[in-house]
Amino acid sequence: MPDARRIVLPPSRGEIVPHYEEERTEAHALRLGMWAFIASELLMFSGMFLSFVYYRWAYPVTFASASRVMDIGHTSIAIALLVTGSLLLAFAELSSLRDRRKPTAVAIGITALLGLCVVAVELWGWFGHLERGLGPGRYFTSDELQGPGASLFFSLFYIFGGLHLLHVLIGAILLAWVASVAARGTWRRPRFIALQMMALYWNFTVIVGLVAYPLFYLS
Amino acid sequence: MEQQSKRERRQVFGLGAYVVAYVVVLVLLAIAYATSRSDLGDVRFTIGLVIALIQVLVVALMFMHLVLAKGSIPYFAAAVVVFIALLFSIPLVDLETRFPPTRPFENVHGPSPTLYPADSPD
Repeated sequence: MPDARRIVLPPSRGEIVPHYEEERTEAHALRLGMWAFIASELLMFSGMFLSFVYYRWAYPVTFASASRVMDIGHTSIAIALLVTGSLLLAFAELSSLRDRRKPTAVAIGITALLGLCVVAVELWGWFGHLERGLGPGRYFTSDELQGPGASLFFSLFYIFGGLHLLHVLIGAILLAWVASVAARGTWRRPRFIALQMMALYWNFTVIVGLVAYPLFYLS
Repeated sequence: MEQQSKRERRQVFGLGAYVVAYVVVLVLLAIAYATSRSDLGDVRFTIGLVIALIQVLVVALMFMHLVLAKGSIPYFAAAVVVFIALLFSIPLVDLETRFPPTRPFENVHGPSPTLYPADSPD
């Protein structure tokens, strides 16, 4: 039977949600919920990876040629920025545990900016590809590659890349919000859990980027 | 409150461990980049996948704190790996055991004939 005196609403102001008896139960439920969300997202991306693997099996020569004409530089920089964000969020978690508000907010804010930089760098790379005629489907007009598998490779590239960038953008927006809350000092007890949730999400986008890298650039 | 704070501290590593993990992932990224510039043929894809696997493990175990996770979360993560393995293994076994005439042209004979060649008169 929960102690009614401990339940102080509203939960958004830092108190335990009424149906949890103690804080660690709530924290574990939140983490498990985030892992369930990440699991569903990973399975969705796995389906897309599988479609890539299937078409690579069907068009091995064309896909190998297509990966060699890709500009790998932009994505390499983008992944380095994503991993830097992971380090910054780990630093923010440590700062948050020591109740150091300003370094926590700054680290989260920089990570949000890095997320926007990742989107910008990747889009820059996309425009470079499009200028060379390496577009998706019927927008594929390049003479560098021939064969029916070539346009398919780039269709997969833009669909997959677009979905990944959307996730990074959502992460950056949410991190900017968390940074503003941290800077104002309006969060109290759930500060660490909220940050852990965001760090888990950010690292999920890093994992997706790391797996996509060899598929599209080293095939 | 103090007990909660101690519990939360057990859920993270020291900053040095994160820096080491960060350097490892970046060094592996540099190796993958160098591989893309080399002329290793099909081997570079295998190297790239192995590097990606190590990087994913480092990120999941260190930055996502899977090493320190308790309760049902490690089992949950393991279940995800099993489901992804199933998702990939069943179609791949199908593809690799297909009767050759049912395989796509390029898979059996090499480059596909060009449908719209660049030097086509029209």
